[in-house]
Amino acid sequence: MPTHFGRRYMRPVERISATEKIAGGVILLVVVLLVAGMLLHVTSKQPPLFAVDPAAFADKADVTAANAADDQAQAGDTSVTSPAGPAAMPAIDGPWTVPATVDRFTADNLYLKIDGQADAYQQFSVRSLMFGVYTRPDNPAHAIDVYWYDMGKPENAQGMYQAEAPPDATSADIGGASYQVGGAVFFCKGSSYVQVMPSTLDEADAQAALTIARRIAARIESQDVAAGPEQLLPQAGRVPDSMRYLAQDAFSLQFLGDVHTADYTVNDRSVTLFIHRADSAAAAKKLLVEYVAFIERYGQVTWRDVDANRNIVAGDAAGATDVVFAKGAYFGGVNGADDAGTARQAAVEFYNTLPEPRTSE
Amino acid sequence: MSESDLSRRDFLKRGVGAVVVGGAAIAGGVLLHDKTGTAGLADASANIVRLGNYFADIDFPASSPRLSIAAGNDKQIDRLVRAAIGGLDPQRGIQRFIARGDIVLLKPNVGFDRAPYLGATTHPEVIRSLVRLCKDAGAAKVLITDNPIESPEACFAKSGIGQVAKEEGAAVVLPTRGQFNLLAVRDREPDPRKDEAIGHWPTLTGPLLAATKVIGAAPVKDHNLAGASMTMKNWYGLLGGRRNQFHQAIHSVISDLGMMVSPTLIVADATRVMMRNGPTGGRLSDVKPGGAIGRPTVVASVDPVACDAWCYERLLGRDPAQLAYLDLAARKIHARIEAGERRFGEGDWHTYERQNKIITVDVQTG
Repeated sequence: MPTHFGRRYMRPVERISATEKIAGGVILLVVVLLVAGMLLHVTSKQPPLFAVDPAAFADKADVTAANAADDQAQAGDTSVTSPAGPAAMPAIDGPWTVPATVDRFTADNLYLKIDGQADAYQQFSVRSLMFGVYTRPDNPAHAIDVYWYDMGKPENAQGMYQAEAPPDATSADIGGASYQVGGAVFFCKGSSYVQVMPSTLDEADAQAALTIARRIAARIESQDVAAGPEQLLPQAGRVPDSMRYLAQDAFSLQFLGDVHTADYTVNDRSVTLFIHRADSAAAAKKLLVEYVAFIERYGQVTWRDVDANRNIVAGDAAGATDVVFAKGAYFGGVNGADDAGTARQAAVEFYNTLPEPRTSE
Repeated sequence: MSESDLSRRDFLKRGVGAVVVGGAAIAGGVLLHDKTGTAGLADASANIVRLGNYFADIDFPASSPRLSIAAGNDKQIDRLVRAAIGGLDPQRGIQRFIARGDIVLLKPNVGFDRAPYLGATTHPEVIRSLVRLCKDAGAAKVLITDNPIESPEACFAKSGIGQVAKEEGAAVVLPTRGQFNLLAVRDREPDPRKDEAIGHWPTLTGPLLAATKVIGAAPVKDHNLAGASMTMKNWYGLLGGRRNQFHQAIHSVISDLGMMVSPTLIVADATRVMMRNGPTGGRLSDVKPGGAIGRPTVVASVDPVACDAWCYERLLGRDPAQLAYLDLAARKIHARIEAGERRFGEGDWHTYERQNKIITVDVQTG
């Protein structure tokens, strides 16, 4: 008897068995759950994919963005160029013209603007960059570039700012942490990290950059950074301006992030103390276990403070000494010291200064 | 028809049918598989090209210096460039490399929309000097190109190199689609186990193919991913496509590029060295004239590996043994040398020091 594919499925509905109906329903349910799960994951982990920039719908933006897309097709550019509205760059007095357009970049296409430097910003969970250029119609050789990064939260903005700031920077007094060097102004306020860079070293351009920076700062709402574990890093012996925030992959360790560090001079030697506040004492201990596993993988554990019943472990790994501990919900210690004795001394003293864990911890 | 009615003939027909459909799906997948990946998106009509060796025809005596370093001050950039190149051949200078009628391609680093004083791009006065030297040697034409990831027009304008080209009569070749071709770095798929990254890739080859001589002129600077951006990293600027995907294998890529391009001459611009926050920088405090040397410096060389190693150690003050792409490039270039290619790729610049093949010139004192 002749047959063909699909014939066996061409049956009246009443001949489909209950088992087949249940199996079909389960399959459909699984498909729906998979789609819902995927949407939930993407919207929560990769919000830029679903973010809508209203400026992108402006007529001029469409044209400019289309041209830009054509020009930079080689690079796969997906940045958006939009008219600079009042919400973007502030106007200033004098010969300067407010940026005619503002380029917007997400974390994913930031490399189109700053190439290899983008990875450093991604380490601090950068969300977006707005870039605009103040120009002087009377003298095109003068321009002031504004890089306005949204780092998502104040800790990230401060961390990136601190990572790039010169050690001897002096405050530019514009609110928030700030400095001016060679005419360019850098500051962080709230979750923003802003760079205002003149194209020349002229004093007048430097003054204009300062004015722009102040006006941008005035538009940014201050966000108090909650008193964090960095307050627990000792004051004594600290190298000035050495505090750093490492948002992720601290010390190149994938399991460690949200870490505050500072450099110290102990016994005429340099050591770096660090601290991280975990969600719980158990989470801090888990980090300790992972760190010790790292030491054992690339070196060896040299000391455990077993007698005092404290969770302090020292080891040599990758050519340096690390001493790490967990105390309550805090995980900290010394990283990358060149002298084992000094590292252990500094870590134990640091451990002793930390608050005793609550009984619930 | 119930399942029990299935005859042997029907069973065989259905079985054969299923095999045919499955086989067709697999064959279709194989036929439709895009072997070039995103590289193929750049220009579907791109031709596959191979680069020549721009050093092969240079009559360069074996005893000649391989590295020439000139230090002075920032008012003497033209003298620094001339002294550095002159150090490679005190008698003939640039004429050792450039002949009458040559079409010379200068490849500076114009990768960023940054002012010259920030050190993210090649100093425009270095380029001015090189254009003049090439023209003095009888070059028929001097081309200048780069493929900045930002707007090329803005980068050439802000870096000052566009203006210098205009003033000196050199032609800036902007990266348009027609200038790109698939460049064969190697004629097979790269093997990541051998630290290979590129097989065929869309590259700004138009000006390279038009040139008879190629001079790389790169600033020396810190680099967040690569450790440092110097003369070999400079060729990265010729890549098209989604080149940021190479960031995951940056040392393999840079060493591939060092192997791929055999320039006539390279010039490392250390008039100001970006010591930190590279490759973009942005602060005057990131930049130091001459880097660790402390005086504006220009290095000319015929050996990109030794040149980068020297710059890394003496200008950035770091240990070349820690810069992975130097060793990789030396290995890859040596393989080419062993295959008969005429070029240099000495990983340890101290070898040249022992052979008295490094010249240093203090421009202030003569």
